[in-house]
Order: sequence, then C-alpha cells, then structure tokens
Amino acid sequence: MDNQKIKAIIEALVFASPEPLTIKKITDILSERESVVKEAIFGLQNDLILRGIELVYVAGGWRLQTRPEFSEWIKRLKPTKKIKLTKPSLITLSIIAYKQPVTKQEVEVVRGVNSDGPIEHLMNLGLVEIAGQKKAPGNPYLYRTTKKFLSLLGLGDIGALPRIVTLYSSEVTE
Amino acid sequence: MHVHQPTFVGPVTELLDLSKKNGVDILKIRLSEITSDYLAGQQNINEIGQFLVIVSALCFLKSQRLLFEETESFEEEATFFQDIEDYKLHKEASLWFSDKLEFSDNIFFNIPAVDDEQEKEIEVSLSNLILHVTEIFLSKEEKGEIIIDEMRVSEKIEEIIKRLAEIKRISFINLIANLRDRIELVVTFLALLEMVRSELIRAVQYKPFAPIWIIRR
Repeated sequence: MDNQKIKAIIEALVFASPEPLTIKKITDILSERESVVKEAIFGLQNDLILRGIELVYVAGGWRLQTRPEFSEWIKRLKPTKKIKLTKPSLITLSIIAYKQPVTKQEVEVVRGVNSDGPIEHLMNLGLVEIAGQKKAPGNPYLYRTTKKFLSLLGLGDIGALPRIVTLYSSEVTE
Repeated sequence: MHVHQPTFVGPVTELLDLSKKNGVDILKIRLSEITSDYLAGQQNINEIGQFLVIVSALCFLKSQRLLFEETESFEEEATFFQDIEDYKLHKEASLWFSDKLEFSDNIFFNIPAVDDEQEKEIEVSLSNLILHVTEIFLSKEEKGEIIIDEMRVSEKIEEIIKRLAEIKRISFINLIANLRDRIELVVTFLALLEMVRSELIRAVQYKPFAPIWIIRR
C-alpha cells in the first residue's frame, strides 16, 4: 500500500474512533509494520498543519481534535461543559496523579485533612478510579488517574506530567 | 502575614524557613503573640488554612527544641516537614492542573463512547448486588480485637442521603471503599436495600459487568 493511502486510512480510522487509537490497533487493522504506520502518522500530522484540526498523541493513542485557536467559533456552535474543580479537589488530583497508585490515607497524610469528599468527586467525574487494594492491614483501596484524565489534560501518558519540583521552582522564581 | 518579634521581623513563612535552618532561634520567638496578633487583625478566609499550617509547624519545631538537644536528629521532625513540603509542592502543582483543565475547554474531539453508554442504564438485580457485597465481605478480613459497635441502618441511610445530596450519583465501590469492618459493610448493604425498596435510590450499571452506580431518585 502506498504511503498516501495509508495516511488517508489512518485519518479515517482516527476520525471514526470514539477514543484515542493506539499504534498497535492501527498496525493490526492495516497489517503494516509499526515503522510504516508511525511514518504515515507523522506525515499526516504535517499535512494537517494549516487545517482546523490536528492529530495529537493523548492517553496512549492518537486523536483528531480541533485546534485550540478555533475554540471561540466552536463555542458559538455548541455550548461546552467545563470541568471546574475546587482547590481541595485539585490538590487531591495532583497527589493521586504524582503518587499513584495511592491510598486515601496516603493522600490524607499530605493534605492533613479527610479526603473522602474530593476523592468521591474526582471519581464521579471519571478522573480517578480504584486501582486495586494495597497489601497492608485493612487492605485499603488504591487510587489512580484514568484515561479520561489523560485525554482531558492532553497527556500522552502519565510520564508526560511535568516534574513536580520544576513546577514549584518556576513558581517561586517568578 | 507579617511578624514583629524582637529577634525577627518579616513574613511568617520566612520565619518558618529560617527556624528550620536555625537562622532564627525559635526559642526566642513568642508564638502566642503571633497568634494573638493574627486574631486581632482582619483574617482572610483564603489564608487561614495556610496560617494554621505554618503556625503549627512553628509550634512543633519549638516543642522539639524545648524537649531535645539541638544536635539530636529527629526522624519525626524530618517526616513532618517533608509532609509540609509535599503539600506545598502539590498546592503549586494544582495550579498547573487547573490551567490544563481550563485549557481543555478549548479543544473538541469525538465524544468517547462512555457518554453514549451512560444513557443506557441497566438496573442492577438484587442477586448481582448480593454477589458484589459477598466478594467484598470475604475480602475484608477480621483481625484482632472485636469491638462491639452499635450502628443503626437508619443512621447509615441518613449518611448516604447526605452524601448523595450534593452529587447525583456515587459508585458502589466508592461508597463502601473506606468502611471500617464487616459490620459496617453489612449495615451499609441493608441501608442500600432499604433505600432501593423505598425508591430513594436506584442501582444501575452502564454495561454488563461494569461498575455499579448508586443514583438518587
């Protein structure tokens, strides 16, 4: 199959997929080598440079999304549901994201207060989920962030989170 | 907040930093004056928490200095300050998460299938609910001393209603995630059954074998 056709198929697949499409899934569907698929993806990204949509790597897969600079027009088309978190929920999310998998008790040691509410809220929003139980007295539940969390924040994987010390230092020096 | 003491004048955060590094002799700082000054002034609701954390850290530091020789190493003290540092780091990091979430509002993409599925609710059968609870019941090992704790189903119902008052739904696993023991699990389960019977809540799944959600009616 020539490269142009592979690019067109990948574009169609990613467009039709309800969630970010992994390289493995694409290679399985196309029966092509991973290197060929990767090359086509980078080519497709390049083709979309001047377009209203872009191809990005989020939550372990590839997704077609609108470019942020056009959001103003899209918001005129349809209203958006913004996720707004309170300070306690944001700090809880940060602790879970950086320390995952983590128990509620471990979150509370850092926050110094009961964290039932924020964890519950984050779970209801689908940003945090139960990852299993810790082999410790009482077998407490372990919490981790979800794919939706990565998808919403536009992160390829959890390793794409900025180093926490870097974040703090930059704030201090400002 | 600014501190005015004979040996230190400046922000309270700086006082804590210097005290930790022995740049200021904490024993010569009168903490009661700091808190009295703070209470006498106008308090900002957003800063009260931070002030409490800093002052409690100063209290801890001073008590350690009063009780032990300065040269001793205090593992507990190190852990305490590590926790405070950790909290400060995550407080700063939370701003990054806030910005990212704000920015996510500007990006549009195919809505995940989960949202479609959420419209198709499957009512959870009683037997399925019992199966779930049995699994969890068996995983909660009872060890050590048995404490007789009188817990009423009606109180549990009130507690669940309170939790569901602010949010429309809660996952079943989250509802029972932090229960103390088997007794509380049984009481919670009885409360849920009563609530389903009284039509206060519904137990649903969005697809077979998916997590169970408790939704208030």
